[in-house]
Amino acid sequence: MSSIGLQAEPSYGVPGKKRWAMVIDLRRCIGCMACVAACKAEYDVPLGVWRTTVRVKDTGSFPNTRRNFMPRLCNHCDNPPCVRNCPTAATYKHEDGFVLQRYERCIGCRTCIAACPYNARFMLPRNRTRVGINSVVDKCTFCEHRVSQGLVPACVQTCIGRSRIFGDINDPNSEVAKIVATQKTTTLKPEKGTKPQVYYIKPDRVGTEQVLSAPESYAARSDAEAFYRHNNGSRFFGGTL
Amino acid sequence: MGHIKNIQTNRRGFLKLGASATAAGAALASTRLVAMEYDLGGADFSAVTGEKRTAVPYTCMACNIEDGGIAMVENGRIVKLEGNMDHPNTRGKLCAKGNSGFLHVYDPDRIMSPLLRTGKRGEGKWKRISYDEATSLLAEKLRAVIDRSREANDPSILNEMVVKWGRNRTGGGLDRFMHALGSNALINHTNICESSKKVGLEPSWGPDIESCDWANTKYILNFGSNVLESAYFMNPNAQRLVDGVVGNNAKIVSFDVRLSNTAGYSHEWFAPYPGTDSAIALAMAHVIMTEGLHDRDFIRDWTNVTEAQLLTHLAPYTPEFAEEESGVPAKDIRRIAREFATTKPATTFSYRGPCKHLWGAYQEAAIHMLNVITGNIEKKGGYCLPRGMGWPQPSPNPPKGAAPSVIAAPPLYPLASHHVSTNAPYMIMRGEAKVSVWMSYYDNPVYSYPSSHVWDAFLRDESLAPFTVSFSCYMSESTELVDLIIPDVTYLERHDPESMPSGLYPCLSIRQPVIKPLGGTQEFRQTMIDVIHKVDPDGALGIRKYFEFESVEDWMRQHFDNIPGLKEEGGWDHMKKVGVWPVYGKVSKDDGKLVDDNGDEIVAEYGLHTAEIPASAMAGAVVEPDGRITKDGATIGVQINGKNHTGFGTPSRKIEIYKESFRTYGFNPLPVYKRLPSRDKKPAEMILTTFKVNVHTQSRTASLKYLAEIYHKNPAWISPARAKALGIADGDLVRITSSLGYMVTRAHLTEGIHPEVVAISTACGHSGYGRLATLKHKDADAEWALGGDPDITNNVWWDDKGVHPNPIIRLSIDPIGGSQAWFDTVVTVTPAQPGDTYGDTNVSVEESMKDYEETLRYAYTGDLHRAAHQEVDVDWNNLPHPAASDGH
Amino acid sequence: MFEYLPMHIAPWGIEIVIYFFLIGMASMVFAVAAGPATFGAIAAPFKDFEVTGSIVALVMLAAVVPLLILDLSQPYRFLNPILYFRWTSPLSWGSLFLPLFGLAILGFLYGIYREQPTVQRYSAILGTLLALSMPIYTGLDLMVNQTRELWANPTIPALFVSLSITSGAALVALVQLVRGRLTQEATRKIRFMIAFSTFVSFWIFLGLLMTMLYGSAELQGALGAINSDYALEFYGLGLVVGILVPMVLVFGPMIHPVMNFGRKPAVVTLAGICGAIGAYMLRDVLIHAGQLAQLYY
Ligand SMILES: Nc1nc2c(c(=O)[nH]1)N[C@H]1C(S)=C(S)[C@@H](COP(=O)(O)OP(=O)(O)OC[C@H]3O[C@@H](n4cnc5c(=O)[nH]c(N)nc54)[C@H](O)[C@@H]3O)O[C@H]1N2
Ligand SMILES: Nc1nc2c(c(=O)[nH]1)N[C@H]1C(S)=C(S)[C@@H](COP(=O)(O)OP(=O)(O)OC[C@H]3O[C@@H](n4cnc5c(=O)[nH]c(N)nc54)[C@H](O)[C@@H]3O)O[C@H]1N2
Ligand code: SF4
Ligand code: SF4
Ligand code: SF4
Ligand code: SF4
Ligand code: SF4
Ligand SMILES: [Mo]
Repeated sequence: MSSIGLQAEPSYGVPGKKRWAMVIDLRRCIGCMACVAACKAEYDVPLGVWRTTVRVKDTGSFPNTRRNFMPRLCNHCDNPPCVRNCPTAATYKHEDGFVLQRYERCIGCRTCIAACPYNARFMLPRNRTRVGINSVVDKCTFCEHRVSQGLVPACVQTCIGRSRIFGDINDPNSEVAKIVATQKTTTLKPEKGTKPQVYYIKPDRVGTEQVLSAPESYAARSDAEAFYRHNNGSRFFGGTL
Repeated sequence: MGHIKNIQTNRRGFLKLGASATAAGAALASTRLVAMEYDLGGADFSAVTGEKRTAVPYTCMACNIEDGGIAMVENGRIVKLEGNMDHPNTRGKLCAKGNSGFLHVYDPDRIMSPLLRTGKRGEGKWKRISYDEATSLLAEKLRAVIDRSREANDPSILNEMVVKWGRNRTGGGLDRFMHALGSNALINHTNICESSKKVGLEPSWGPDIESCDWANTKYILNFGSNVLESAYFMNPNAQRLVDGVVGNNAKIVSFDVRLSNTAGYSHEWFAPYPGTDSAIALAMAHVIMTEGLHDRDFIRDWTNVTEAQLLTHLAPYTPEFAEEESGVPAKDIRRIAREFATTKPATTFSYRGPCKHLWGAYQEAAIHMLNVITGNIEKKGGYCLPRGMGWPQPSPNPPKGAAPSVIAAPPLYPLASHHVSTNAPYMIMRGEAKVSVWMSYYDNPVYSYPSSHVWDAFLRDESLAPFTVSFSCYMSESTELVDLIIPDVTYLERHDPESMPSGLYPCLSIRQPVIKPLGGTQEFRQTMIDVIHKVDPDGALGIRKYFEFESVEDWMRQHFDNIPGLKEEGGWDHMKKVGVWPVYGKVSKDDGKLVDDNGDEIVAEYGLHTAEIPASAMAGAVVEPDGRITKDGATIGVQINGKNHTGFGTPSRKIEIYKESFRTYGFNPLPVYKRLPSRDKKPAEMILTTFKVNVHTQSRTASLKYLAEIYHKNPAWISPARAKALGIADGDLVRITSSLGYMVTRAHLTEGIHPEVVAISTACGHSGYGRLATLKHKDADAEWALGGDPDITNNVWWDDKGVHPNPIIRLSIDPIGGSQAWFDTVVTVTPAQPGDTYGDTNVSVEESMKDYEETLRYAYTGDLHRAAHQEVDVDWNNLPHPAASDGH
Repeated sequence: MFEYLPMHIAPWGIEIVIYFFLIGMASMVFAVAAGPATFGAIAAPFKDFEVTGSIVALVMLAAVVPLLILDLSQPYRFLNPILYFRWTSPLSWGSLFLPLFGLAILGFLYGIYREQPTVQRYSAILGTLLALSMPIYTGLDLMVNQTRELWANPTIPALFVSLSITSGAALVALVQLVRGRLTQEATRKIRFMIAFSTFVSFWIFLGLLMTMLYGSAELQGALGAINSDYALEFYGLGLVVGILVPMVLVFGPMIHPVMNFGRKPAVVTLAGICGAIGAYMLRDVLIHAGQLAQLYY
């Protein structure tokens, strides 16, 4: 039943079907931000929006301080609420599991942004450098255009720590399937029923359990304030920038 | 850099080893989790049209680690960069800077034509001129100096033609240019960089850096290197470090005064008092030697000291002493020393943290010694020699100039093989050297040097530097002050030969124009050719013959077409197509290791120093009583236990823990700890340290939007405990005052810093470098600028560009290594005073001039040197006389 | 590196609040105007509101539809939800119902002017059903977001209906008062509508408060956001002004004769206006705060 409104059945565990997934091994993530830059370049992602980010958080007190990194991107949920709620089927689920956008259909109502519990979606501003797709909602595509050509996603390609691992989780011989089968992995907000397909190894609670975590340091808070100042002084959508 | 090997032998060696190591490889199945069914790189497609992008190999220079890259071109525009899968050390990956590097090409503030100053220096008024006019003007100025020198029959006048470089990846091109002109005045940048590390290492074992076998090690002791963010060689090292720590269960322990990403990733982090690393390293050596955990055979065979000598020398360096100096608990020092000595293989790595202090060379030498006494040198998983490769220079190659240049190689620093570039403006201001034509290549001292305002004052003064030129493609803080700008092109549009010892597999790589240089801009190599042709139009001066290249590409061919091995594979044409040579194998999809066609790991070669001298080469050689093998007056190796080894690149061909050259000038020949003046600061004072961040390169990436978006401001890190005592809250405006003046910035309270230290990143706080770096992105395009990135004009959301610390940092030079002691400046931190605003900086050139006087007192002829080195057995009244050398 | 946060912009802003408020109000105004035709005698006091009310509703519709379209970042594609209709998206339903609602109002007016009672009556019934759908679908717009816990509450559509009834009644009262047609009978009906709707709103409000107080971390986060950023709107204007004050005014006469002034047309109108303010504020808080709980996730 969960396929209602998704256009493609959930494919996780369905024999004969692909189900692309990513594993992020947090033991290997060094917070280098190569993935963030590679993804921006791959899609000419404008300033102020991100398909992927790596969050940084220090924990502990001197001299026992630690630093935690948490890469984030669209989870390509097998049961994606963003797809169900879109009034135009501009966002849809590919039968191999990608959750994708039809830019020419999107009306920019942001229903899908409201539906996504992971903040994985954003509104493209009016201006960008090279690509002419503007003022519609966008998100990580799991690099469908590369994967369909036999290449790993751009962020995986460049991942310095080899922390990001990509593959078909339905194929028991794939690395992602083996890892998810044998290692302790977690997904984000599994209780939301979205069936996320980005799995984390050794996540830190600080990274995953931030339901309402406003920035703490002045350095981060002042950046957030500047960000909202830029957005016409609001934390809420107030017209495409 | 370093070690040039005959690649043919090497390569065969690797293949052989690779095959024979198969069985072992299978047994040690990797636990790493990286197998992917799909291709890891090499191609890319447009996300919009699905069309395949054109892939062109190049070598990255978003920082100077020189990783191999592939540029993806769509409709003549570079749209994406990725690591070259054929580069054995880069293995297909680029860091955040590398990925963003193409933005340099399309920087809206890129200078698109030569510019001649029309207003006063620094006023920002320019006239566009052609490359032809610009090179003619420069040639005329140079020719005037040459003519004057010839008339006076004084070759030292030629040294008034000066080039100051920050990055010189021309593969000998810049040296050729200056030497052709007859000048030795090539001022490098290395003493602001890591030169004391080099000087700690070179006399010890030859090369200036180590290559750790991160992936195969079991224990890493990291002293003040931030390999996961910076350091040589960030990207390749970081990859292998993670392989070692996660894949091979290696332990990593870091010493850093603040929580770098590397420290934050380490199993243990210790924050020593700044500048006390050698006390810790020596105490570890003390523990290792006194507890008998050392490698007797290695010390006996391969060093120039005895166990007894070391034991005596190390006796005072107890862990308790080190705790007293550094604050790192003695019990931890003991424990880690034992772990390090008993876990095999193990390695240290160090970068600028320890060496960028007064007497930094000692610190490096002390850390290096830990690897030596534990016998981890050149072992799999240990501390290895760097592996680089060379290329021949086109013939004829000009000889060096006839007269030594005192600014290029200041005589008071005879051990500083990488010289003392910081001192140049002071020497010129004091009349110790004269400048007629000042050329600046890939350099930005007005931003990047200590007491940067001194450079500003120097470059503005037409009496000191009558004619100044910059070859930069960006309007940096330094370039905006010159008379003439002849813009270079970006690293994606030009030719360079490259080789970096960034891993265990030596290789060559190249830079080539991935696209035609934008807007008719011209690469620096062509500018050099044109200038020389104009200086010596008919060859009458005998200069032109060094630059008889038909084209820049012809110059490249002369480097690459005749290298044995490469020649057979196509020489330059191979390089253009593949970007790198040799291609060792493939990157395994299973574990990221380099593998051959059968999937077997290509094992690197180890034990380079033990390579035996072939019998043929021994013919006519003599074995000296001390074991050295000499031939025709030169040392070619060392005989140990009856075997003839090539050994290390030192006079004795062994590792010289005892450095006679140090003693000659009154320095301690053995690694020591010297208590720094900053160690005796007043309790209310703090020590200012600066650091690099993962997403920025020095002075040149604040203009790259992806990186600036991630990191654009640099508040001062202060520990909460200390801040509370100072009455400072997170985000407060603070005044940081050194003897030179003060800066006003904001406080960033963090548990990740030593309470005595205040740390500011060097990445931000530009007054120049284009509209994005200065947050004037809404301003209209300058007439000379490329212009046009609507993303920058409209979407920049941050409004803080940071405050740069260099104006308040004092000039202070390590008398041995010649390095700037960046991390020793004593400051006071207070809440801002009424009227202070964010970014205020107020410093004095006069005070900086005093620092120059002061630091000369530590040079080998100075009184403070002598006071600090009472123990050295040297005739203090007959130290060698300062003499200019021809080094550059 | 210091704490690095990816910045997000909450997708729905003030335009959505205004739209939800006005469309709810307009639909209830029409429901009242169509009342005599739909329900007969029981709504007879609004017979003289038929034309005025329909026109008011139509004008409001004409004002809010462009607002809704302009809020889209691709306004020229406003027909897409109909062209690519998706039944799982309340927005699709809304975009279908909205023009139909407009047509129904036109049909109703057509019936009046052309004196075709059947057209009028069927338009009235259809229009009333569509009118009721407006607050329901806007509520569903929020409710279907099962991943935003403050919204994912089935009481939200009910709340939106009750809030719309209050605000609709307020506008009817105001218009009739201004026209001098707020009869005793009409006042009584309006008073009943306000009493009923504020009573319902009151309980739903309490229910929401309970779920937030004792709910999941996310719900508590939402309450945190409300308490820190929207306390005045939520408790002051939403609860006190918007629910308690009108309840006191309209229920007062049933409790004690002293409160009999609560039957006066002007006071009933005032109660309605207070309720309308609350109806706006509660929507405002729910829409905004419901997004803040996840803003930094
Ligand atoms: N991202 C990035 N990478 C780079 C560069 C870049 O600009 N950006 N530049 C390249 C260049 S030119 C260089 S020279 C290298 C430099 O690379 P690194 O040496 O790794 O970097 P730094 O930030 O200069 O200094 C390293 C660390 O020393 C610490 N430190 C300061 N004082 C002490 C001390 O007394 N003891 C100890 N143990 N630590 C101390 C600082 O906190 C800092 O974290 O990086 C290269 N790689
Ligand atoms: N406080 C403090 N300051 C430091 C350090 C520190 O630890 N603390 N570290 C120091 C170290 S290690 C170093 S190496 C220095 C480096 O400092 P810089 O020498 O400033 O280093 P780069 O960022 O490489 O920039 C060199 C300049 O080259 C020019 N340029 C950029 N691209 C091109 C090009 O394609 N062609 C040409 N011709 N020119 C170009 C630009 O003007 C740029 O500013 O900084 C030092 N500064
Ligand atoms: S993470 Fe968000 S955008 Fe991505 S599929 Fe899931 S719900 Fe949709
Ligand atoms: S913004 Fe676009 S993709 Fe998202 S729900 Fe609306 S129409 Fe669909
Ligand atoms: S999979 Fe592709 S689109 Fe998604 S974060 Fe990675 S690079 Fe970006
Ligand atoms: S590239 Fe890989 S290691 Fe670097 S931040 Fe991204 S996920 Fe982490
Ligand atoms: S470390 Fe990064 S910027 Fe430096 S050469 Fe390598 S990829 Fe390029
Ligand atoms: Mo450097």
